[in-house]
Amino acid sequence: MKENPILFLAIFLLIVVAVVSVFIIVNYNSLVKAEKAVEEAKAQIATVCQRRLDLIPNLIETVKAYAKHERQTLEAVTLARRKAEEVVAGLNAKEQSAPVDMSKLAASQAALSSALRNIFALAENYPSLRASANFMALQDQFEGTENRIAVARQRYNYAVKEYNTKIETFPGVFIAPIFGYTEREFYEAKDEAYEPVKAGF
Amino acid sequence: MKSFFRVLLLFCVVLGGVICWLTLKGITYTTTTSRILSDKPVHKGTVFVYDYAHLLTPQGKTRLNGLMNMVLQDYDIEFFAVTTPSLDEMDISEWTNRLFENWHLGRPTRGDKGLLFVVAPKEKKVRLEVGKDLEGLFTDAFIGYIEREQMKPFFEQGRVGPGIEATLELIISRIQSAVHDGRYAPQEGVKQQGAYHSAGAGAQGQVDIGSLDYQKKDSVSGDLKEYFSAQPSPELTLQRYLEASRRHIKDPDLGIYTDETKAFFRKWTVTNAQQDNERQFDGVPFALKIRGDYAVIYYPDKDWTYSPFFLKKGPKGWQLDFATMSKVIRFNHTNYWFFVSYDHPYMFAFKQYWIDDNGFVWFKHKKGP
Repeated sequence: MKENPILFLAIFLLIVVAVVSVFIIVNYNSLVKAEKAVEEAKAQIATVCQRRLDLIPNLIETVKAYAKHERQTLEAVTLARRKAEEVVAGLNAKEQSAPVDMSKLAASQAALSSALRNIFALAENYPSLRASANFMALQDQFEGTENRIAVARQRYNYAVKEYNTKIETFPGVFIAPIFGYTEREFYEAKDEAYEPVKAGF
Repeated sequence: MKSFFRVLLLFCVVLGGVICWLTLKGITYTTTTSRILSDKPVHKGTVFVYDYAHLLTPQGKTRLNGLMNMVLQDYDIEFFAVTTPSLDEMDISEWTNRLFENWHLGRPTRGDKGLLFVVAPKEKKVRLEVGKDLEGLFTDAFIGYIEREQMKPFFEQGRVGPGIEATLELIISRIQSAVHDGRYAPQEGVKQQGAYHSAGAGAQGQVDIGSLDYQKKDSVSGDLKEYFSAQPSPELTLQRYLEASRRHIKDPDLGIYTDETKAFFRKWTVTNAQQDNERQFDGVPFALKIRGDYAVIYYPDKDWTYSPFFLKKGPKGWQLDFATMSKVIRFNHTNYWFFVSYDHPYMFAFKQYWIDDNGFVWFKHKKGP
């Protein structure tokens, strides 16, 4: 070995390149996995949000049967539903999430939650509606779906945190930009502070 | 002098050790929740009930563990019941989901077939969470229904063990009809869990445990008392009873019941779900046998989930004898009825059928004359 320094150097470089390649591959794979986890969690959010949207027609029909004159509240829900449906459909269609999607989703879902809260609140004034088995089943279904949304949101944010950490810390911080991996947005819940949806939203 | 410094050194070491220990203890301050979370179950099919809030009797726990073990063996579903003295400021949904994931509910099953029932008496909340692979079988509406219409009356009277058992009966019924219809196959699937075991499905409710001394059973008006009085034939009396059940009438003082039955119903917890269950008898053909003042209505063409009715002829007409039925008939974990005693006046109706050692009447197997 000492007789041929060039050969020694070549082998040394080869080993370095091999080690670095393996290193990059392993970390790249880890980034891919982390991003896949984010995508999966996002798909689950879309699924459970859609589930809530699908429950609404039945709710409107049931409430109409007992509370025909509450047109404004019912219309507000229909409007909020339409808006939310657009965003959720967009969520499913796109492959790579654009930064604006999550906040749009949060806003449309919060608007829908607010409109739904108004319906369930007005049911307090209609005891026969409240006592009907159909309405009670709907309440259970809405509560169940809202819980699923909360769980999905929490798991999505966890996946985003893991992924963002990977691309912000060493070695991901070097590898991510090479392959175009950028930070993902959290799903911030805005439910509490939201105002009912207004026209032109 | 030397020995003084040695003692001082020893003292400092000991003091240092005590301070470290106290600091560590302070850092690892445990909440009720963290203690419960770390109490990882073994999933070996022996213990399914974790009664940290001490709401159950030892006998109650034993019964439940036995039942839940059978549910795991027969239906490949792991049902855990956990009572907790505190939710540590968390929502019951968050608490339950955390426990579900941490304890890997559904581990011994083919997939994620876990059910977790949590009772938090201090916060007055209950929740039943449904594992990912059981969402189709137990909808949120169903779970909400059984919590409201079956479990709640028991829990309000402080009867937590019987309440969980009664709720489990309804769950088992639902599994059975799904198996019967081919919608659920217990042995299907791979024994592997996903990264997450529950998507947050299920339902919860508000229950004030032990807030009532007895269940409130409203009396019916005079007209209805007249309507639900003893009838000239056993069939008519049964019809009236089924109608009372349909209308969720729980008044124990009805003419369609014998006096002992009235006393029995005064103490018995009657739930809407149990009364809804009686609808299975609507319009179903039955066999009727009468001997003197005793009558039996039974269902030889149906399986053992259709228990018989005993009736006695009183001065005003035929009356249902639930008092005797409750003493001599029991239901097993698959909701099949069987005799625990033959010492009653209604055995005449079953003399011609073969009864096995466990008390099951085999209607399709007639004995010789």
